Amino acid sequence: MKCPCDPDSMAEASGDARMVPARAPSEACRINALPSHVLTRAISFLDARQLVRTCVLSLQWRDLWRSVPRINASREEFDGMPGTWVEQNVLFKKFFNRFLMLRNPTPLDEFNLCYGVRDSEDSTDRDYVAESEDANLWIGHALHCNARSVKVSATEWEAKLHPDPVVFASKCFLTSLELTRVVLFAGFFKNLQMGCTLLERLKLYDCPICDAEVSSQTLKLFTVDTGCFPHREQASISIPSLVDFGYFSGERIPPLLTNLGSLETATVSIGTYAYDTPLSDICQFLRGLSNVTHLDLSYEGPKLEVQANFQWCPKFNNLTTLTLGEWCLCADFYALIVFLQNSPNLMKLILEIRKNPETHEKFIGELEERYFTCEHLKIVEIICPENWEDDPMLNDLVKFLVGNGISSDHIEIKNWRDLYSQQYNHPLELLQI
Amino acid sequence: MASAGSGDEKAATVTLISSDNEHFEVPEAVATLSQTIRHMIEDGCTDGGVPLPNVTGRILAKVLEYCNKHAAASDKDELEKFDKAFVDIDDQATLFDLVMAANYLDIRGMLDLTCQTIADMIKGKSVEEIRETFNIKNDFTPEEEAEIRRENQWAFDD
Repeated sequence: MKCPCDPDSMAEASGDARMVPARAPSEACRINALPSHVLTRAISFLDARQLVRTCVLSLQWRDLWRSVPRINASREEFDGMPGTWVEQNVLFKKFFNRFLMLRNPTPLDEFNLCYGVRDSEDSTDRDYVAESEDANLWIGHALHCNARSVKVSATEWEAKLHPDPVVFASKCFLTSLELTRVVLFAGFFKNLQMGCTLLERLKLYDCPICDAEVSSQTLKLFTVDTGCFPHREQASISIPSLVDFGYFSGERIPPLLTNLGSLETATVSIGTYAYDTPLSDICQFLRGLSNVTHLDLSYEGPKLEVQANFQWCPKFNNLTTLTLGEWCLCADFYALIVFLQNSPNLMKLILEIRKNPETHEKFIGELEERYFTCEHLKIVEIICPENWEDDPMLNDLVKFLVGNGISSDHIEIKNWRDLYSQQYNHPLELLQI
Repeated sequence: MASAGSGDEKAATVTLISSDNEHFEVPEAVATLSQTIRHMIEDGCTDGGVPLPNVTGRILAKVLEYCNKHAAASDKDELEKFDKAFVDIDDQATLFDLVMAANYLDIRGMLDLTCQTIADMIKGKSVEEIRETFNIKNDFTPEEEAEIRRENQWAFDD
């Protein structure tokens, strides 16, 4: 959430307004000439307090704020106010409750809330629950106003929000939910399934999940990022409708994937630098993903040595696009070769090299056979730091790929800097991939 | 104008004609970022070109720059960089022309981008500063303005 400075002083504009276009010529007031639905859309990007203040700009603006179909409520808008943190919170609550009362009952498209719950020394879970009560009412209100998209986050450096899962249990039109630093009490997924029957998209960042099973019949996209499975017992994920799965939560033991039958795309990161992840758990996790067509896999654990031909990689029969980091190049391209041997229908391979695999040893093993057959592999992209293009390891890699039937015409080496400054002249060429 | 499904190697294109009679031949895959044009193509009324009387050649060129980039569906970071540069415009008139074009052509991403830019020009400013930036004439009487400020005291500073 952006934090605008106190609007009534000559404060500098927020970071995003750094370019200030020149003042319009004296006759033109283009903004007032915009069709009202367009003007409403523009001001729907403002935070709540700034939005209400537009009522004073001119007659035309007087009641515009009341019909804006998006609410951005950020407790951070009250950071500059006089008083303690707690007093500012009280001011925010008073303001926002009033805002919701005075708004027109127009259906809401989007509801974005950034709220603060103080981390007190004497803290028990109950305190946080009590302090999160207002958030329950606000989220409930948004859902009753037919909000399709809801984003809720707790302010950084404070305690997490502890909403009541029952808030999500009544029927609503929610399709997309993003939560940041919110504790998900037991019963969360059951309530979500009961009420949010249209939910397709769920993104969690630093949201400890208390349920033993994450289940849904409707989700198509599910992302878990940072610390969402804090408990010792391994959680399980069963989402038969899921198409796109993102997992970078960083647990030692990743969750059990019991039913991801529709999954097509997975972007996952296994392992954490501090602890060893048993190879059997890695194997099980990969098996849960073995039907995907697109896989982006990163290994973040410590050095791992595979013993005696342990088959840790399942067959990825549907895999057409594979993205791996430099971790797969250790020990003479060990993990890369294993993947290639198990992906017979691969069409595109992307290797993202950020560090030197020789000095950052990760996944190590020995192979009896180093050849693979990927008849359909026609695109290989190797992205590396600048000045690495002539590195002997890269040369060996290209030689190895060519030796296994990949045409050198199909292998492209790029560096990260060029990638970000590349201008595409002929978009159609890209579309033909 | 080539038509789709004819077995040609060249992809289908559509011709867009600006208000000042500039012609732009554009691949359909790019032009259909505009829902307006997409519907016209689907309804088969694009023969001889699509006149766009509300968009000048200069603005249409910029719109197509946006569509070209976004149709290529490249890396998310790259698109973000492009978008940021796209709205780094020196004059307000062009920005508003782009908003109107995005609205008329129903290009959702571009509409959101340009609207967000307008919002960014409002953020952090006082009421007086906003009026000045956009040339908004204050047509309240002093009494009316005072009343509105009183009514909405809860949103203004104490």
